[in-house]
Amino acid sequence: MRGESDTCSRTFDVLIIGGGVVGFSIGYGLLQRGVSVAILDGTDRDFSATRGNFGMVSVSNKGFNNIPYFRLSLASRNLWPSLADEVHDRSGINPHFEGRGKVYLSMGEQELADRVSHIQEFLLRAGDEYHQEILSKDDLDHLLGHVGLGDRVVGGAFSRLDGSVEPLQFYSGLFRAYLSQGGHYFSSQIVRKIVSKNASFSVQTPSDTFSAPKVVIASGLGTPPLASQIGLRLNVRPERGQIMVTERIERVFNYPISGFLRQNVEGTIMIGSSSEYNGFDDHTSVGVLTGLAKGAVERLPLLRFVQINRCWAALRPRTDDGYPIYQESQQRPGAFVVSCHSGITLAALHARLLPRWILDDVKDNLLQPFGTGRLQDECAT
Amino acid sequence: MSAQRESIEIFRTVPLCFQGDMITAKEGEPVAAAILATHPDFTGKSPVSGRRRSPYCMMGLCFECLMEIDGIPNQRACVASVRMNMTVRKQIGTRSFSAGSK
Amino acid sequence: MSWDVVVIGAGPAGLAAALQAGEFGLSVLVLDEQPAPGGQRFRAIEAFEQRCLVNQAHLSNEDNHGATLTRAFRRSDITCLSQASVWDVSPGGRQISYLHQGRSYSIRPKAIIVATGAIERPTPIPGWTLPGVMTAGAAQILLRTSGRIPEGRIVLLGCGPLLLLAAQQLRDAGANVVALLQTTSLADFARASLHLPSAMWAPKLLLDGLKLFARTASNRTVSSVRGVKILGENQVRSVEYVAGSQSETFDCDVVLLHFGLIPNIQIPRLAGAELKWDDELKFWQPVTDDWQESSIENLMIAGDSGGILGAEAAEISGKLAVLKIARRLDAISESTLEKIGRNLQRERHRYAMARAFMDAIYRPPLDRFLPIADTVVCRCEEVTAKMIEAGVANGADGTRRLKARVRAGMGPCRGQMCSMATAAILSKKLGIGAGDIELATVRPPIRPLTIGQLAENALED
Repeated sequence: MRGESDTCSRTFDVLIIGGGVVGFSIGYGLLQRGVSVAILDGTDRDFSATRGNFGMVSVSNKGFNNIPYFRLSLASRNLWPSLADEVHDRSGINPHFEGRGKVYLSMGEQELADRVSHIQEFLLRAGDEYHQEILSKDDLDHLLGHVGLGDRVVGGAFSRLDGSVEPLQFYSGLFRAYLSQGGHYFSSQIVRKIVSKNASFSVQTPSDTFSAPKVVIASGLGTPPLASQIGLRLNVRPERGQIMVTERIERVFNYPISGFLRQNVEGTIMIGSSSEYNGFDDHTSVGVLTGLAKGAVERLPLLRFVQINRCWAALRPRTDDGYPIYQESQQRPGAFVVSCHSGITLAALHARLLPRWILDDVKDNLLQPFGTGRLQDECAT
Repeated sequence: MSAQRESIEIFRTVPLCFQGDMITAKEGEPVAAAILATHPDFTGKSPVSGRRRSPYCMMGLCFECLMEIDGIPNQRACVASVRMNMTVRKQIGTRSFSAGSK
Repeated sequence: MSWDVVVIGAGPAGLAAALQAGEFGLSVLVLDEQPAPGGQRFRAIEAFEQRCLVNQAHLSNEDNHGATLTRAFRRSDITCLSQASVWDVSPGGRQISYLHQGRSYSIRPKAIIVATGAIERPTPIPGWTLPGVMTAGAAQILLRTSGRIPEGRIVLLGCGPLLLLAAQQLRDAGANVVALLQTTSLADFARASLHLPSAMWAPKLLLDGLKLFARTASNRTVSSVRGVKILGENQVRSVEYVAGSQSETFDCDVVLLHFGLIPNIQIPRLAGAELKWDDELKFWQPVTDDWQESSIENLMIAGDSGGILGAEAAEISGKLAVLKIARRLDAISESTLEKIGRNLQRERHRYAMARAFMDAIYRPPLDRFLPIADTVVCRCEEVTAKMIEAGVANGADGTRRLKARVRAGMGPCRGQMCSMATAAILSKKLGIGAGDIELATVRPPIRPLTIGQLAENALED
């Protein structure tokens, strides 16, 4: 789909290169400011972290070594309920945001002891905003709805900070809400060139040229070559994650379990998620999937008899230090790069806080630590 | 379903417990065939809509004949062969966790 | 140990391939999903032969041949695992994972021969999810495996030689076939006659086809049927259709659908083998060379899974598929390869010529059977044509995006029933040729597998 006829105007207030959840969150947010926005998306074949992700709005395990990242994630989580409601209202698609927290399960005494000290340290670093409490195995079992925890589970923790969303429905809803608010969308646009001239950018694809005074690059793994055209050097590496999803069964556990398990509204259970650096290979491998299955059965033995419906892998766009990048080009003001692997967690923040930065040049304090400067500093030292 | 015009039946008949009732099945035939013959109404209900479903392709592709066989859920009844004293149950809608977890 | 060859499927192609490989001294493992060898064409052939014997019934020449082939296979020392279902083949075709007797194994053979045969083209029509609707092939399987025929008034609907064959077999068995509704038209015959000269090279196949036509013509047969709806609340009650300018309804209890065969390409797709779209036959098939090798080295495709040529041709391609493997493993000489190979290739070609005639008659009437409105396309997730169209309107301009938008193909059958129809709707909506629409990625496990079975998977190094 080309999205729109060739006769329409190709000049907008903001162009966003990348039609994943990051691009659409920003685009949706910008529309609320009354500007005209066009999203230039790639093809159906492109790697898509949006289609492959687990749907967690993660906070309590974010930024142990980088408290600003924790604050960023928490801020986004707090903005999530209103975004979810809006998207639901404007699209008719319920993204099923649930912000009731998540459970951590500790396998063996050592893991539990490590968790205790981890939480203490996190509290020291992050202060009162942080929450995670140790729970006994019985309490966890009760919390999860008496699902029967595995023998090796000795205890764990609960954090009320986290949430989850149906990632595919959220994306569909966001897409429709964006269009209903007057956003423009162009598919199969492989951006070749970004040229700046007279305070305006023109973005060239093999078939079209688009122009706008502002350009946002949110192209996931495709970001680095585009960013270099606006004078920003950065790396984004593919980090493969494998996930499996089961048949539909009646609701069995009430909270997502960190790192491993989550039950969707329609009843399917997602089991994930691995981490590998394997280049641009987005296939599954039986060895890794076996590991995921073992982990799931160890934690919730009842899952042993549940049917696997589908396994897949997707590539997370991973920056050098794993933290997001929000950077305006100094050489080409008006051109921005947004890159992160937590597009779902940060979606609400992207929709609510990035428009001011992009349109008014006011970069929220929360975003300040996440320029590319830190990466260059790191290289220098 | 009725039997083919054939003078001598060489199948050995065996009892099979379906939904708690004893039915007669032919040893070695697909479980789905035995169920269709005695209970042609439906063999399960869609976990999505709850609508009635029954075997469609009989060759293991369509997954419409998923049933609980000998306590194990989600068995394709069209590729499972009838043995002596099997227990077969319909799967009605979304499976509950306890079913088959014995 | 590492097998020289793993053959997936014990139909005519798989059996011939395994026997040939055994003859060359290769170590062979056959993984077959059915309880007994024979594939769909010779499903449960051993038991069937026995039944015919006891009843002093006539075994057709083809069945006789199938029984002989199966017997030879049973007498060989080839290892065959029945009721073993392959749930994954790794990208690049190096590793096969399968489930057998409740346990999962991953093995790494030196070569793989995919002989998974054909499937009946899933063609969504209104009401096709109702109990009482099956494929014509399903009815044949019931007849074969348990001597049972569907109770009540039967309507057969669709096109293709197998539809006629099923009608014939069902009637012979005493079934109450009340109508045969064919989508085939006179124009199809006219077109097909162009292929007659080349078809003459395989007169038996041709003759069989014509005989079938003659025999079934006397039945309550309607041609050029379109606008079909299967009606009923909880069960089939009737079939409504349009023929000429008339709309008619047939009361019935069972509807058997058949819209021709398409290659079963799930495993080649999993492995990432290159496919090509046949715009005449409207299906995807793996690209293979003269030796049945796919675009992936040592992944051979034999029989109907490589293109629909029927059981006899399947045996030829099965044997052919072994030759390159045997040569690479130094089990045969270059001259043996050439000598046997060229003969088999010539034979295979003859079947391909004859097939063109049949294909032209039974061109799938897909344009007239494109699902619309509330017709369920994805049976597992109950996704209708309308929902798919809405997904396309909401920006899904490819099969991957569409799957993520509407869930079509996310159910337990892994898109086997809906992927072709979904792509056809996409093709129509976007105005892109069907061959330019890539099918959605096949995801393992392609056969049932529980989390517990995967957790205990035995991985061979």
